[in-house]
This record gives sequence, structure tokens and C-alpha cells, in this order.
Amino acid sequence: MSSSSKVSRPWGQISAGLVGGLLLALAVGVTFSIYWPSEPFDRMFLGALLFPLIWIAAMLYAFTADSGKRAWLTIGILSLVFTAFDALGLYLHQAA
Amino acid sequence: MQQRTRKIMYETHAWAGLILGIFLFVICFSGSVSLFVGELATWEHPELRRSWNPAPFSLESRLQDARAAGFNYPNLFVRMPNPARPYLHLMHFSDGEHYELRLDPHDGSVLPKTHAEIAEFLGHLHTDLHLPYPFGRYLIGFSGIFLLLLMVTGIVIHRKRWAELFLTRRPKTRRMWLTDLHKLLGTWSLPFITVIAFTGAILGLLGFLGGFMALASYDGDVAAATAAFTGPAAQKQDKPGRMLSLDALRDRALQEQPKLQIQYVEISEYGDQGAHVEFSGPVRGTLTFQNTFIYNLHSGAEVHRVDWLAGGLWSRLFGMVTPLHFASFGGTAMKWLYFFLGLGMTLLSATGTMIWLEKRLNQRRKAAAPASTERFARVALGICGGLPAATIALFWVHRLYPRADDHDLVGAPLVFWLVWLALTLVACFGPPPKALARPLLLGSGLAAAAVPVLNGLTTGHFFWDSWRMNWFYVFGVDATFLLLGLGACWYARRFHPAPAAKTEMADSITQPQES
Repeated sequence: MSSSSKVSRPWGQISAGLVGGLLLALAVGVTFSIYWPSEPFDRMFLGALLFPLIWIAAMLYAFTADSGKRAWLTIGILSLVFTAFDALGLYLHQAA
Repeated sequence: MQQRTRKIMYETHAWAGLILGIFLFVICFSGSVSLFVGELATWEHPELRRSWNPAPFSLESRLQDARAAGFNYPNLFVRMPNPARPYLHLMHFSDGEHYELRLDPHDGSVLPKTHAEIAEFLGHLHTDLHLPYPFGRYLIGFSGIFLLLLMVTGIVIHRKRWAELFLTRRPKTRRMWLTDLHKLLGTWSLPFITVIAFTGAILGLLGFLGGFMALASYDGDVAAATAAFTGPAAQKQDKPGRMLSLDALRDRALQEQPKLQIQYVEISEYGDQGAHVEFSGPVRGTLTFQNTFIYNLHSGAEVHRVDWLAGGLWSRLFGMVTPLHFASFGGTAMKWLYFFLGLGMTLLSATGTMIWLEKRLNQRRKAAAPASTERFARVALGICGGLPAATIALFWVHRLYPRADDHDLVGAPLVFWLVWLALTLVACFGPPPKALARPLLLGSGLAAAAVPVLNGLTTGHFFWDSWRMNWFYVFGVDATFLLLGLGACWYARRFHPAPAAKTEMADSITQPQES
């Protein structure tokens, strides 16, 4: 069965959950810390509070994904999108 | 839920638990003990034991008493007295060294020079694993993340969690019994684990996350983000100036926030016109971190204020993280609740590892048990069984080691590490785990139960004395040792509750069920 073979060799899913999930959680946390409409002292904590939840969610998604490739693709694209938002936000903040 | 998803959750729970089980045992055990750092600090030094007197006292007079006693550093950190530490504790940190002075808050008498070694040692084991910062701290933080993962996967694989609130069957095998105990502990302590794992992850990784979040919120200015927390550092102006009374400034902070419970006072650059004094503590009746008022000690101007209640939703939520993790709200009863729930989490980690070992060993019962499993069982027993024994040894050494009044007990941590290492080596190379576990538990139980007796014999403060003198921190520590020690002895008598049989039945309990 294909599913059982994937469960027995899930290094792609595991690395996507652990490494990709960490990067995604950081990127999402930073995005919220930049864009959330409140004082810097307040929104700084939003990113920190979201970080564990995003990482856990990413790990659960990656571990249950059909393949490591798919897990990396989804988490990687999301990470890149949020990182792009972060870069744009930081640029706009510094330009303003 | 799909069977495949459930199976993956089961595998994730099993492997993450196996990899982290021993590590979580150490963190949970040391965390439970270090909840009482204040009580232990006073317990370990009989000369500091005194009744708690909540009457107000002059902080300015005590500062001048300290300066008259030669403790005249310009930068001081002062811990205010509380029921567990009924004395004023002044500290000065310089070039990696720290200097301490303890004063009676009411008459200003200088108390014997001591160092709260057990308390600090166990506290540091929990927060940093005695590794250099930030490695230990980050490891603890990451373990909080994986504890959350274990919790979520545990919820998914145990569908009948409400039925598991109570033990309703008589376990026939040890593995069945361990499984029931694991489920029972996990179900009852689910809210507690959630809180501890989440707050522990945030606190452990704060240094790591802080840079990213400061980058985002303060345009990369980490110093500005730090200053928002701590206020600006005092700038020495090299101009001597008259210092205002600490009492007057303390009253001013209390006028601003009448429910402020001042726990710490920090004095910077005393004697200089740029000197600061910082009063910090929680606000009574709220779940908040340290609210802070900083004043210039020369002009009296307010320099900075951190009010976690006045901020937005996220800073208010963040302000709850520290008190929720360290039980610094709800008084002594809450600390005891945390202590027992923390021990429950410790047991949860141990039973999780033991279930896996039982399964592996029983699966191979007909053949020889795999050498790797046997080795893992030995290491697990050595580390998990050795830690409580080493902790008890720390208390024994403190009572038996003859020392000068002002001499720190440098050998106690060494004894801790040696006992832990020795027991781990015995477990690794000595008798098999099943033969060693019972005597180890019995020995630890007897040694723990003997701690209050040893305390009475060496200090003259037996149970009844500490109870009579209202030294509840001494009584509490002694009573806990006695109860846990006797409990361990009782359990050691029935260590093998049932013959190891019917493994097929046990297997069916821990494997995920089909939806």
C-alpha cells in the first residue's frame, strides 16, 4: 500500500514539518507583527503568541500530507508568500 | 477521521514521546520542584528561618543599613520580603560575580551570609538545563512546542477521552495498567499541560522570537523594543546628587497603582544625578506580569512605566504568560496545585516511555529483546530514576556538610551530578532494569522520608517546631518529602501489579482504533 510505505519513510514530511514549519511560523509571526493595526508594543507580542500555534499546525499538516514533496511545496510557497509580505512591510515602514 | 491520519498521529505521538520522554521528565520534575525556590531558599538555611511579619517597613532605612554594613554598591537589585522568604535580599552583580546581603526588614539587622544553592541550582536546571545561555533555554522552549504536539496528537488518538476520566477496569497486565495511568493523567491534566507547554515554549524561545518580532514592530530597532519592556537604562552623569527617599518614591508608585505588590526594587547609579529606582511587581487580583514604575532618584521624575493592564489585547495576553507558567498568582494553594499537576506531568512522561518499552520488550519476548531496546530501558531508568535520587542527595548534603557561616557549599552540585551519573552508570551496566527499579524507588523513598528527620536532627526544627513557629515554608518542604517518600516506599512494595501476560490485549489498547 502506498500510504503505509509513506508512513514508514516520512523524512520529507518530517523535515517539512520541522524546518519548513519553523520558517512558516516565523514568517507568519513577523507578518502579524508588522501589519496588525495596533501599537508596536502590542502587536510585537501577537507574533510571539502565534508562533507555536502556526508551527504545530504546520507540523500536523506536513506529517499527514500525501508526500514530502507536497508538504514542502505547500509550506514552502506559504513561507515565501509571507516572507514577501514581511519584506514589503519592512520596506514600506522604513520608507515612510 | 481517516484511519491513515489517526495512524500518523499515533506514530507521531509515539516517536515524539519516545525521543522527548526522558527530556520532558527532567524538565517537568525540576520545574515542579523549582516552583518552591523561595521556600527552599529559606529551608536550606536555618539561620534565615523566621516568622513572616507583613507590617510595613522603611526601605530607605534598610538601604542605609546596608550601606553602613559596607554593601554600598551603586547598582543593587533588591528582593522584597514575602512569606516564603521573610527577609530583605540585596544583590549586586558585577563581572560575572554576585554579592548578596540579607537584612531583617524591620530592625535592619544583618543576617548570616548564605547562598540559596539548592533553590537556584534546581531553578537553573529547569530554565537552562545548566547549559550556557541560550542553548539550554532554547532547548526548553522547543521542548514546549513538541509537548504541545504530543498533546494535540494524544487528543486525536484517544477518542474516548471523557470515558478515560476515570479508571473503570481492572488492569491485567503492567502495560495495560501503565496505559490506563497514562491516559488518566493525560486527560485530567490536559488544560494544565496546554498552559504549561504553550507558556513554556513562549518563555523559552523569547530570546529567539524577540529579535524577529522587534524587527517587525520597531523597524529593526531591537534596542527600542527592549526599552519598551525594561525602560531606558540609567545614564551616569558623573555629577553627585542628593538621593530622594526610597519610601517616598515607593509611596508614589503605590498611589499610582494601589494594588501593586512590589516584589523587586532595582537601584541604578545610586548617588549620581542620573540614578534610577525601579519598583516592579504584579497587580493584586489580576493575572499580569511585573508592572513597573521607574523614577529618577535625584529629581523624582517618572522615567518609564510598564502597565500590562493598560496595553492592547496581545500585550495583555502576553503579560499572562509568566504568571501562568510559574503559578505566581492564586497564592500558595495554586502553587501546590501546580506542584502536584507538575508531578503528574512527570509521571505522564515516564509512563509514556515505559509503555513503549513494555510493548517493544513484550513483542520480542519469544525471541531475545533487541539490544537497542534493552539499552534504552537502562538509560531511561538511570536518568529518570537517578534525578529524584540526586535531588534528595542535594538536600542530604546540605544538612550534613559542615561549613563556615559565610562559606558557600560548593560541593553540593557536584554531589548531585555524581549521584545522578553513578545511578545512570549502574542502570546502564548493572542489574537489569526490572531488578534495579524497585530498590532504586525504595531507596529514594526512604531517603526522601528521612530528609525531615535529618532536618530536625541537624537544626532542631522538627515538624512540630516549624508548625508551632508558623514556619510554613519549612513545614511544607518537610511534609512534602515525608509524604512523597512514604508514597514511593508504598508503591515500591507493589511495583509489579500483575504478571506480564496477555500482551495481545494490551497491544489492542494502545494501537489506534479504526474509525
